[in-house]
Amino acid sequence: MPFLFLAFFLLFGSSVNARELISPIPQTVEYSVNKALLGKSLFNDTQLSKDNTVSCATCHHLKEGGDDGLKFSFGIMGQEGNINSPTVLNSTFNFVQFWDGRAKSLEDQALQPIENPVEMGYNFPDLIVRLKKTTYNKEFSQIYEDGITKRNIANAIAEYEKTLITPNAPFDRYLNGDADAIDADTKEGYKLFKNKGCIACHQGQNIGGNMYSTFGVIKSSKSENIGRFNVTKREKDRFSFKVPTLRNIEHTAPYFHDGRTSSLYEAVEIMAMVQLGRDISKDEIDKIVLFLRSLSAPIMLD
Amino acid sequence: MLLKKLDFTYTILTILFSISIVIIFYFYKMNQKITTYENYALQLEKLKVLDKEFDNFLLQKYTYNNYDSIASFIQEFDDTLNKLKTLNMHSDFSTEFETTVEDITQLYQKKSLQIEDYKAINSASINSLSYLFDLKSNIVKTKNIRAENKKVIENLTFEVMQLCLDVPLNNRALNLRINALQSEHKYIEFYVLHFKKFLTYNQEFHDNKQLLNNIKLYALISSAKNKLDTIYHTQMRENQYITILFFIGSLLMLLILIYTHYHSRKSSQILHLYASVFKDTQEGILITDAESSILFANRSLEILTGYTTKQMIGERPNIFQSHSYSPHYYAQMWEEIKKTGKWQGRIKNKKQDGTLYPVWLTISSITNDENQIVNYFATQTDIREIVQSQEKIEHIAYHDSLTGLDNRISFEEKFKQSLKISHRNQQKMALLFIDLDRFKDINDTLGHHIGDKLLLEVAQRLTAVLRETDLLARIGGDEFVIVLEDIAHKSNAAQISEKIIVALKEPFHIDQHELSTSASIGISFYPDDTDDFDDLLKFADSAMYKAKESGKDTFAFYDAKLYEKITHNLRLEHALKNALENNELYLNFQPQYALKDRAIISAEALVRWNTQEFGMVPPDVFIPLAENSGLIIEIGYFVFEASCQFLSKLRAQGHSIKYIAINLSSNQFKDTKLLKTFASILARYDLQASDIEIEITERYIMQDNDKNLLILQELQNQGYSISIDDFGTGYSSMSYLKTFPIDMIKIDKSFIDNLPTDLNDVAITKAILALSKSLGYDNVAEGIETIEQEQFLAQQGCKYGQGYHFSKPLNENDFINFIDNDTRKLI
Repeated sequence: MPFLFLAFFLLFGSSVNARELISPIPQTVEYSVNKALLGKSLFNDTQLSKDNTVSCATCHHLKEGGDDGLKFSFGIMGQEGNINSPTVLNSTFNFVQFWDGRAKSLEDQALQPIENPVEMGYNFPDLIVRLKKTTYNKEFSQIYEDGITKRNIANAIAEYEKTLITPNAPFDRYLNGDADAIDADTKEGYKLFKNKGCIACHQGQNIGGNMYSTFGVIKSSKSENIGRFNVTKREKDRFSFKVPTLRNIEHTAPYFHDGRTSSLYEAVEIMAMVQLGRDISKDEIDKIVLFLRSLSAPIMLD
Repeated sequence: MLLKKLDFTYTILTILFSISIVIIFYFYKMNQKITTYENYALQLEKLKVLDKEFDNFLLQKYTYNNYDSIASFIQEFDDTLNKLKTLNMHSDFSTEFETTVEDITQLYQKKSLQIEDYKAINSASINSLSYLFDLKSNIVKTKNIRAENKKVIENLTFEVMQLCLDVPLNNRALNLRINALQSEHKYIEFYVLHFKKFLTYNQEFHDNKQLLNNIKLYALISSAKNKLDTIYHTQMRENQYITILFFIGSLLMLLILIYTHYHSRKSSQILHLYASVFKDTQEGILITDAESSILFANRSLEILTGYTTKQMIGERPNIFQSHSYSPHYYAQMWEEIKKTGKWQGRIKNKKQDGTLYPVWLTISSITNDENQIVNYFATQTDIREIVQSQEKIEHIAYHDSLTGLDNRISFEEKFKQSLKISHRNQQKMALLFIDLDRFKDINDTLGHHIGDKLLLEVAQRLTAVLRETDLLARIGGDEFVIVLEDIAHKSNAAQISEKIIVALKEPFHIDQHELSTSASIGISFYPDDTDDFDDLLKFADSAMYKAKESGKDTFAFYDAKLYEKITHNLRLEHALKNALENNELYLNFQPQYALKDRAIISAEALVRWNTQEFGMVPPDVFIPLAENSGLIIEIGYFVFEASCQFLSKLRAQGHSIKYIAINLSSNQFKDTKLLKTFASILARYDLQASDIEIEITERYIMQDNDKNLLILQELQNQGYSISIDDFGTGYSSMSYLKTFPIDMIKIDKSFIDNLPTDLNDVAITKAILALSKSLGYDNVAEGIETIEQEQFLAQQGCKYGQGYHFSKPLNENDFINFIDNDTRKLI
């Protein structure tokens, strides 16, 4: 019988050690410098919000993990949102944007906060009129034939966001062959990350960000947000969310779409319980946290 | 007309240009269409490949997986689909295709949802699956778990494995079994939890698969591709047809253009030609309008009339009227023009200076399509010169240009006239036909100009001899005829002939040459010989030949018998020409035998002619005729071939004849193909040259011609025997004989006839035999008619003989009978 099981594992390749399911992110991505520079200005410009108080950067602090460190973000006029803002870092490697994946691309994503009444609360016709009165008019014209348009605004911001990648995290260096980039405990953490089944969802170059999963596969997560159901209206998508990237996870607390904890330890504990339904020890969690910390790196360029 | 043609050309050119533009446009369009099509086709192919990738991915259940690649495939599919949509499908291809792409999008969205579900199920299930195996290991290792439970766990784990391998199991039964497990340990609790989860995932996989099975995305993309292909190919074909149509159109236009260009060039050339002919022609040309007012006159008319064109234009043609004709004459002229559209005739016109000139005037009316007269067209041909030259021509026609004497035509006219007069007056006339002897030699050796001068002198001398009334004419090269009218006696003609002969015998001094000639004169009489002009001339001609035959330099009267003979020979010759065709010629064979034992050695082939018209014609009559006419060549081949045929027939019947002797005429040697033809005939009958003996006459040998000698030598070399015929009758110099390639000498019948009584012949025969013996030749004596002759010859050592004594010439059948009946005679 044991031989049979062995044969079975070989057949399905289920052995988590069989191959690396995580790959390092590239050193660079292709992007247009001019567009990205324009996008950077827009990203940091509060003119994009109706009352000139909120910019993209308001909720996405690039130096602090690409999010705002708040449970929920605040929009114009002090309005509080209902979802934890995800990091903008490495978002270009996500297969969809937003927790519920309602934007297929960075462009699609960039448009939504501007018109979201609790975020920037503006509309594009007015925004375009506003921007045309500024130096943006010239800058856009130099890059885009049709000057300032909704599409071009989104395009420029998306182009900037593409540059917000964080290569050379210690774990990436380890994957690239630098055996000493992470210590033994971290390595142990990685092993646990695989053996405990975390890697079933958090895989790929972004260690997440390439699939949806129900939040609460084994045990109810008691989420208030119904997640992807909003997009697909399928019952099975109730509480389904995009599996987030774990890169820079150390800096993107609080965790989960509802920011239910600011402790990474707790976050791992929650995951083991509601997602994996596994028995896990304190030591194991500590080691996994060590591993998670090895996924952080500064932005490639600033 | 020309303008019209030019317009036409421009129209064609414009059409051609437009067609070319359209063709270029179509080619451009087609090219674009190809690019667009290729782009679409490429996108669709990409979609197909990607869908295959999806399906591949969907086979990897229960595995830890990196979803980056499937995510990138999805991304690519999205991008490709978007690209397809942003292209201008509607205008490039039909809306039908556009709808299909919309269908693909919708189906794809369904499929991508299933893929996302699949990912989620897979991730959750692999977690449970791997944990179940971990748990099983832990449970087995844990001491305070009952073995019974361990056993159940092991079995259940095995079932899990089977589920993974799609082995259909009863879920309810499994649930019952898992529920029956007592949770004595947290491991078992986890196991139960994950086992149940696993069963759910397995079911979800199953449902997912069911749904996916109904999403036939690949088939839809393929059908879209097919639809695209169909639309594209249809459109391309249409475009091709249109392009080809336009191409053919342009080709047609081009051909028309070339044709019209060629045509108009030709007609403009013709017009140009007409104009120059019109201007430069020798004839005076005049064109008037319908009211006879002059519109145009050419240069020749100016010269002819003395008026300038300027003076003539606007005038009426009556300015040329000479008043030699009555007004009635002109009225009639116009009447005729009105009636027939034309008048022509000789008329005298008046020049500007009042002098008259004769012209040939032609007036034609020119009508339009409605048959109304719009112009008159007149040509005036100056006939002053014609009138003058007419007289000259008459002289040339009737006179010999060299001597100025009457020529044959004039002679005929005048002589016929004389015949009438003589007939009326019952007078005799003599016709002298004079031919200069040796004139041809003079002409050939000294040249025509000397010959011509001689003829001129002769003409002068003849004129001097004759009375003025006598008609003298030259009717051929050196043939003169003289008509002596009203002669009392034939002797008058003889006297004149004598005078002529004497006159022409005197040497002529021409240039530095002193030339002697003489005349042969033939004379016929009217009405004594005939009263027909042609016969008189023929008779005189034949008489002239008689004079020539009797030694030239003399005259002869017409002799009816002689004439008969000549004409008979002519008729024979004519009949001989058809003899071969009519199978009138055949061969007789006369046996040649050995005198000592009368054994038949060979046969001499003798040609015979039996004509329908003349009966049997003897060889001594028709052979010379054949030789003179050249027919001997053909007849010779006939003889050769018939002889060969006969010999091979004899041989086939078992008769051994050594050879056939065939007579060859010297004329046959002039035929360059002789040897070749003989060889081919021999080959046809499977015979050798040695089967044939060639008999040639002594005269031929004696012509002492190198060429003849060569041919003879060649014949002997090839194996033919050579025999000398009629030996002794010629002027042979015996000594020559040894230099010739000879095998046999035939002793002529004339020496045999009087043997053995005539001592002369005896001596000659003996001499020939002795000579032959000394030179190593055999002999045949021909014409042996008596036993005495035969015995004498045999005694004298003559080897062979032939003649009536032994056998006359026999036809083929008789010859065969002859040998058959007398076997003794065979060797």
